Amino acid sequence: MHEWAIAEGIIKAVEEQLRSGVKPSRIVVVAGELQNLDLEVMRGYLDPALSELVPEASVEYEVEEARFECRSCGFKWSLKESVLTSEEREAIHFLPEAFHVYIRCPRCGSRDVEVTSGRGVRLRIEY
Amino acid sequence: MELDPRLWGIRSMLSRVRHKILVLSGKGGVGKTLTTALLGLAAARKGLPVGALDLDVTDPNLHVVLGVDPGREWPGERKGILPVHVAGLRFMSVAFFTRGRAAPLRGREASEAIREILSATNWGQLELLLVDMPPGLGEEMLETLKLIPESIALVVGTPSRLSRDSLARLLSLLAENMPTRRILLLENMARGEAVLTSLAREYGARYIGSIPYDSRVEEALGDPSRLLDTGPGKASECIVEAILDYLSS
Ligand SMILES: Nc1ncnc2c1ncn2[C@@H]1O[C@H](COP(=O)(O)OP(=O)(O)OP(=O)(O)O)[C@@H](O)[C@H]1O
Ligand SMILES: [Mg+2]
Ligand SMILES: [Zn+2]
Repeated sequence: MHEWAIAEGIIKAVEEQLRSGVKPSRIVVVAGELQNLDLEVMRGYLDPALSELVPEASVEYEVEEARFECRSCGFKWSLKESVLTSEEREAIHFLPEAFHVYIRCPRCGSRDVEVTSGRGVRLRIEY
Repeated sequence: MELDPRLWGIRSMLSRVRHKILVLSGKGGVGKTLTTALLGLAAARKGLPVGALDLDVTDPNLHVVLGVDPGREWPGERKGILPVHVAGLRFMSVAFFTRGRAAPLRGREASEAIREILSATNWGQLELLLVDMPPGLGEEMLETLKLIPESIALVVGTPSRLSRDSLARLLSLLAENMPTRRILLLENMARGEAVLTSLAREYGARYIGSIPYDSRVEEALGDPSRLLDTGPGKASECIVEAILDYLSS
């Protein structure tokens, strides 16, 4: 699974925090809607590993809505309004930037589109 | 505090790749993609576990040289994304996900794509990973050099005076800003005598050999065994030897 690779990066990042002597009290995995990760699968890898590494920390998962803005005409919209085939979704799941091939501005048709939120995974750590 | 977990993912994924070689040039069209393919194919023919990665994220074309149709092949998944096998070579490209179509990316987005591919591709155990870069001294090159600090820069240049001028700029940038980086210089489209050896010496780069110009390359594109049969293909076998010698010394 591709989710495994992302979870592995998160675990390695937390391990490094611990090695450098800081103790996270709250860990939030912020998953961008665009990448469409399987959060159940992510939790399957992360929950056991994190509860062993940082038993006192709370671990939370958040999905951030994917939103786009057209650089040609300024129109703003969300992923939910875009129609994608399952193959296109799969490509974007592996490589979010592939959306540039499959998503155009619904107002002017431009492909010079920016994803303003909800692209991929970020790790928020509080101490 | 917010962290990008991919930075740790990249280290973890590349930890089983012994040598990472970034194929670079200032000017376009000097033969980075062709030499990446040839060196990879030649190393694979020797039986080495070798990978080739196309990081020319807005205009990938290594698949064309290797004869891979990104519309038909789909990388598998196991603890990451698995490269596709071509003539003994493990190959990954953004083209699989863009289906060979244009993906207009701004600078920061190109970096995002590079981080994503590097952190998600599970190469397994490799002796050598060759990375085909877009031309230029911009975002993609700087980002990749930073993400893989232990990588070796393989700079490709041609004997043309225009190419030499641009080559000197890239070599001096690498030498000044990254004094510990190992730099190799490869002369492509050579016609007769090597002309770039003194330039390599001047900037502390190792001249690793030359590949002749051969008009038969064009018709061999897309066919790995025919490519290895051309003059550049044969020269690549010697260059792989020279690189392995250099790496073991
Ligand atoms: N030694 C050679 N003999 C004959 N043709 C060559 C040789 N090297 C490169 N070419 C041809 O020159 C053209 C440019 O080569 P290539 O695409 O590998 O350059 P590049 O540096 O990757 O370009 P870009 O900067 O656009 O990525 C191609 O058509 C390629 O087949
Ligand atoms: Mg190229
Ligand atoms: Zn628009």
